[in-house]
Amino acid sequence: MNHGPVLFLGLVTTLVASWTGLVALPHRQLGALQPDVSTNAAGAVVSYPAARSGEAAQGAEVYRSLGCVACHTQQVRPENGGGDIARGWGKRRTVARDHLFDPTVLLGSSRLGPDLANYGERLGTNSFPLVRLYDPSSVATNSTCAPVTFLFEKRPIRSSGPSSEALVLKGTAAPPAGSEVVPTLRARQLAAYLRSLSTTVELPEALLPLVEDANAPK
Amino acid sequence: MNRPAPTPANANPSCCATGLPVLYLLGGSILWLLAGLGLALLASLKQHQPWLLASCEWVTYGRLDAASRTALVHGFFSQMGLGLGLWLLARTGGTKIAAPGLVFIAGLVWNAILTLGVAGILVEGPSGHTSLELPQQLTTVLTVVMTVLCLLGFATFAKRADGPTVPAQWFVLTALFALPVLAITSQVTLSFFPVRGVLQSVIDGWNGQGLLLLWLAPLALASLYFFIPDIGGRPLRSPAFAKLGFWAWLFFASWTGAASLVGGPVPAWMVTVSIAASVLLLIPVAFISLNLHLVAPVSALGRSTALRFAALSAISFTVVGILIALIAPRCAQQVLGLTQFPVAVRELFLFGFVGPALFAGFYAVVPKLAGREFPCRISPVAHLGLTVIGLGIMVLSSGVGGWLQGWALADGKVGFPEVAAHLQIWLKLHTLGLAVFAFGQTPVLANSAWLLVECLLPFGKPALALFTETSTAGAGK
Amino acid sequence: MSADANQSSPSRSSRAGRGSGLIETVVLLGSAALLVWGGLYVGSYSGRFDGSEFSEVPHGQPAKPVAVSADPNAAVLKAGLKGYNASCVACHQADGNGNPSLNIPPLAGSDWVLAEAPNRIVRIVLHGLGGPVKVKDTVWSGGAMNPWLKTADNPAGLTPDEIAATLSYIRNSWGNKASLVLPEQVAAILKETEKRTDPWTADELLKVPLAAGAPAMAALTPEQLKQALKALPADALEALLKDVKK
Repeated sequence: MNHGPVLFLGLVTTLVASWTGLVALPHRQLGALQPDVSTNAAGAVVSYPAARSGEAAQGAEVYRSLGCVACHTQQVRPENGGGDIARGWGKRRTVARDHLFDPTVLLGSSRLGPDLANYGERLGTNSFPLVRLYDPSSVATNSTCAPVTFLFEKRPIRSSGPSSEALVLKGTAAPPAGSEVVPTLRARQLAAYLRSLSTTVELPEALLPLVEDANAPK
Repeated sequence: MNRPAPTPANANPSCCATGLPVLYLLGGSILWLLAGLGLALLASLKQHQPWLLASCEWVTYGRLDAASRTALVHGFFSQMGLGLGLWLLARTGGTKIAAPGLVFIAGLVWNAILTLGVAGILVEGPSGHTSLELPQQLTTVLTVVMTVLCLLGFATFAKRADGPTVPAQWFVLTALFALPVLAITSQVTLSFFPVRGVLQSVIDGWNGQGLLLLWLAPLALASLYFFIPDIGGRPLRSPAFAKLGFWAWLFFASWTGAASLVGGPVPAWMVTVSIAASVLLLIPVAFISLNLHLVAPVSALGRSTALRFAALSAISFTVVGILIALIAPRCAQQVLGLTQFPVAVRELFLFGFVGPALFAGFYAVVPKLAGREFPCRISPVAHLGLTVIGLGIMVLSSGVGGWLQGWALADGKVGFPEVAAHLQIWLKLHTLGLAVFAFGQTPVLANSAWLLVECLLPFGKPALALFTETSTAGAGK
Repeated sequence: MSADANQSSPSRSSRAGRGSGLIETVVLLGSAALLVWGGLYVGSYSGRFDGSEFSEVPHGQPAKPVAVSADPNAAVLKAGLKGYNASCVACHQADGNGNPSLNIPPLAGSDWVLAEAPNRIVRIVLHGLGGPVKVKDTVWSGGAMNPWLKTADNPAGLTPDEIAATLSYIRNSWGNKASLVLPEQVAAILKETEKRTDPWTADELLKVPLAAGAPAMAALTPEQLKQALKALPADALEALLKDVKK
């Protein structure tokens, strides 16, 4: 211990061991992960996950750049490990394959906001996240989600008539008469990304429960 | 924003080679501390005031959070730790820092890169990897700079006088060895050739825990191992335990990377191994605490600011070590993971253990290097007092808030808005604590600035005299 | 002074207080106990260090049972998909359309599959099929299907229950819609054909009565219907007619 070389050798050994165990071995196991190919109930061959395309992929970049991950996780924990599934945040736990094509994996480490792993499914077909982005409190009262008003353009209604994309806003967030709030490209990209968030496909390593909990809120 | 500390007129000339770069790193780190805390305070406010500055994209909560963490970890903790570490290597080796000019230049580049990087986070957004938030091009330069500085540390160690090594040296060398390994690995796998899928999260966790437990903690422990016996005037209780504690810390801390991924989408064994390592961290914590706590006589606390900071640090070290072990197992993580509770532990670790350990070194080293005492005697007391009060409020509010948040989240019947609403009061308390804490750090800046002015005055008087002479001469004509 | 303080190893007598050895002993024993715990923990909760094992549940212990399905059909079909993927998909393909280039007939829309009672397809799966067979107006010849019943000679096969589930899946996938195949039906047919070892031929199978009487009408051409009715024994035909009149 009184000699530099012994110390140095010990340092190298310990760190190489840790590097092997938590970097190299995981790379060996997870680096070769492939999408799951199966047949769905309708008989079509599906590959899961599929890479996001177009708007949604660009939206992932917006999501990263705004730092949404600071408040929102994207991981559903198993039913015996927390209330995620009971709360309706997902039907099954998320596994490594769900994130195969995320350019940056944003699992998150804080739940100041709700989990978003399945946000697209929770939104359903009708609701549109754009209003939530502009004024979160209009959708969820007392929401502490920061509005991203800078992704929207507040402009006078054009002579050709109101834009078909203009947000329907109520209360204090509503623009003054004669103006409208329209999403910019980035807002639409972010919304497309949020709608694409879904982990409902069954995987061999993460089966769906056979019956949905009737009490689970949608 | 960082200026080199001047050569003090009355400093021991032999000290200059060691003194300048070290003083530069310490001074720069203080500025980063305040900048980082300012950003953190704004981020903390935005946790419960979402409409604050909402129209400005540069200051979203996510960006502020990442920027403040980067400024604090890479600006304050790393820089001050590195400065102290180099000083400790020179001091314990009875030699001078190798290539002080290069250390100085590397420090300049470090600060320049970090300034750009923090601005980059605010403008472009964080990378998404919590341990490597800086923009890619900048981390490359930063990695090179860090590697150079760590190699210079090894060069300093190689120049040491013959004789047995001491715990402070072991820990500094651990830090200097770990940092390049962590930085290069994360750089390659997360930035240059991003690995696919959740492997990113595993490596991010490994790198993040490594930065805390294998880079900052060893630097802090080196400071404690050196200054507590040095100022307290008593030898370590058990040299054998120092060795055991060192090797056990190195071994277990290096395996804790995936502990926070409980329930996450990574294979179970990675999490299990990291949980076991986190719990087994109790072993080195016990060994090290035993050595540190039973060394300093309580009576010595009264006469040394440095020792008071060291005592706070040693106590926090023991508490945080136990907390890390307690919240690691799955049953605890399933409730407390992903809440504010780990935030409390992290804050206690950084601001309760690492920060005070470094400040202990700061208060002990700076007067030696500057050749004069800190001018204000009240300032360190205020610094310590406000640190303790602010930290207490911060840690308790995050801890209690996180505990309640965790139990509410674990119950699937509680709606999320309700959980978030109940957390509000604790987030507000946390902001209060952080504000007190941040305000508590201003005395050290004021004191340092005052010291700087005092050191500069000897240079200033002749210059002033020269100026007045020439001006009167000019007027006389 | 500091270096000295750090270096010097104090003699035992200079240590502070009495009983200082006690603390060290306790810490060392505690550490040993923790190490043992750590080894056991890693050993039991690491899922054999398998990269696709995400649950920490100790191996050998069954996973927490999932809720019983309100819709038993879903469970059967799910089990059937597994059987299909294990045994059938290589030839008949994931989309159930077979593989014409290898003379593998389709299952999707096949009148054999969709027959109201599964008497014939169960036999095919149990013992295999040889010779030409007409499926969807095409005669598929040359190919031969292996028997899929799990026996001592054929350990890779399916159990009667698995056959029932797999056939149920086949009869209800890719647009197919027919009754589930019950394990009892498979068991009964297995008992009937106990002595058989050779694969069936299409002609033999066409003589097998469809117990419930009629094949699925919609899936049959009039020609096939005639043929099917001819194949029925006289008493069965009578019963069928009675049924239809009702």
